[in-house]
Amino acid sequence: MMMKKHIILAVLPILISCEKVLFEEDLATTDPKANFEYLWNECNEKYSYFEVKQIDWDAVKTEYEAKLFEGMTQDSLFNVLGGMLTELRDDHVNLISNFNVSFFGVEFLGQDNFYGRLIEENYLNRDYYISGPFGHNFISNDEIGYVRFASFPGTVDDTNLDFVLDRYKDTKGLILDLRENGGGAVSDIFKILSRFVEEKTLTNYSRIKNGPGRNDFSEAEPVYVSPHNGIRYTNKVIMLVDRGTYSAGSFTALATKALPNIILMGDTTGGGLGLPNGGQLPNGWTYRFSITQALTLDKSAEFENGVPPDIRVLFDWNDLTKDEVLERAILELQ
Amino acid sequence: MDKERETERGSALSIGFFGNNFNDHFSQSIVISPSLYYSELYKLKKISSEKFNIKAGGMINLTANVRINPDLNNNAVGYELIPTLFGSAKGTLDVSRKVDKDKKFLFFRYRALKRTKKLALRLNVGLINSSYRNGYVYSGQSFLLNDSRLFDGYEFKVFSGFRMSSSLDYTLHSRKNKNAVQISYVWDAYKTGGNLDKFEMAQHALRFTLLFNTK
Repeated sequence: MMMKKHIILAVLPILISCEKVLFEEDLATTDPKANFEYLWNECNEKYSYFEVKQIDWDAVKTEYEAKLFEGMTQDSLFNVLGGMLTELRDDHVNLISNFNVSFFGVEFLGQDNFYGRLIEENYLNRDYYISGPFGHNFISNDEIGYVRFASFPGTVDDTNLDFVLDRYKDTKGLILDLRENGGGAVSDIFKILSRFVEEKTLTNYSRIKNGPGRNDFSEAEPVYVSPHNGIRYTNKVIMLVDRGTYSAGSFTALATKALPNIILMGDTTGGGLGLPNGGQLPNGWTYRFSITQALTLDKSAEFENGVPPDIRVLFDWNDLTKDEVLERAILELQ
Repeated sequence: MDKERETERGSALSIGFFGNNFNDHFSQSIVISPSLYYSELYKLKKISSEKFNIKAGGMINLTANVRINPDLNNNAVGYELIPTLFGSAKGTLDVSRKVDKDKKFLFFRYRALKRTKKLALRLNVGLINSSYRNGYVYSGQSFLLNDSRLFDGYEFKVFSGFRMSSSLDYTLHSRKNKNAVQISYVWDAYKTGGNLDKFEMAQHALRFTLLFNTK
């Protein structure tokens, strides 16, 4: 019996040691080449906009791989890997370490088109309302409602939307200012747009990478916006955008192309129409890049390079007494 | 528990807090793993004896993992289902003290009363290993479609991966009634199949069980 007892007690440690055989080798390493290969390959197989942006990723590899060398510092390696990612010209692409974050800076592709203090001093006045993420007031002799929406924080709700839209229900039109809105929670997009449609509306399509090839995507799936069962705004709406309007801001701008009562005005948006996906490198740094494509109603992915305005207007920095973009919107609503 | 047939059904919940520090980069995660299981074991009479009971059978186990790792941005919350049909074998050795014995530990003398005790080792090997996990890019797009779904873009894979588990149980029966206490060391290890983003996990748990009205 003692023998059997010892056998039973001995089998378990043997089984547990099988873990080492069962599991794959830990990828953790600080080796520059291994980390470079891992990151390049992840992008190569999963990034969604190589063809739209006409990026030769193999050529990028050749260029940046040559910058690796034995014994390079963490900072040097970061600059090589971050520089490689910057070639994707996409602010949904970042390399993140505890000492630096790489970015492209799409807003610098166009001029600055928004001066917040000028709007507060010359249009909104000090008595403007702040309802959740919305800053708003009557402008132009109380004939127009102006709503500043600086980001998509995920806190848009029925209470703040009801209050804003009810307040301006008798205006000639509404100006939604999304300039320099860098995006955020996608859920806010549909909560806002549902207040500006009267019937279920197809706004765009979306598809996601499902294989390593450049054109390995899922079927394009339709995106619909349904009308909110409550307060909606039915008069004309002008949405102001610029190069700083990014990600969720660009998604909203893209959707307006299918909504006849909304005019997009200002500068081309920054794009950012791919859902960013996160991962971790063998050396512990993390990264993200786009893995989906948002498509127009004719199933083009070109708006990743920016959603063009219906009316192009630029801010004149030689005249800081007025906002030309806002003035043009007011004119359009008169 | 029965000498001829052993049926077990139940649920388990394990919660683990994990940290990883590599290259001066610290990451932490929480893993919550609920599981449901049903097991049937039958005595192999030809190779069993009064002292050593050997049973064989199977177990169906559905394990879910919810993983929270804020460093992974849009993938900060991950979850998957790991359903497995195991082939199982269990050996139970009767290590009961049949008569009272006088014993000594260091300077202390004491009387060890007769008692029913069992030592058992159970081994489960996955026969049908499957997983219900994220698709190719480890993310879904349903919330971009204004149609959020919980298992967005998930794929069910059967005969994929490997799983093995075991438990070492020491059962001490009450002298007064049919109740018992059981202390177990439980080990469960699994990996998903395919070549992409394999999921591997091992759990080691110390389990304390109260058994009522045993046969």
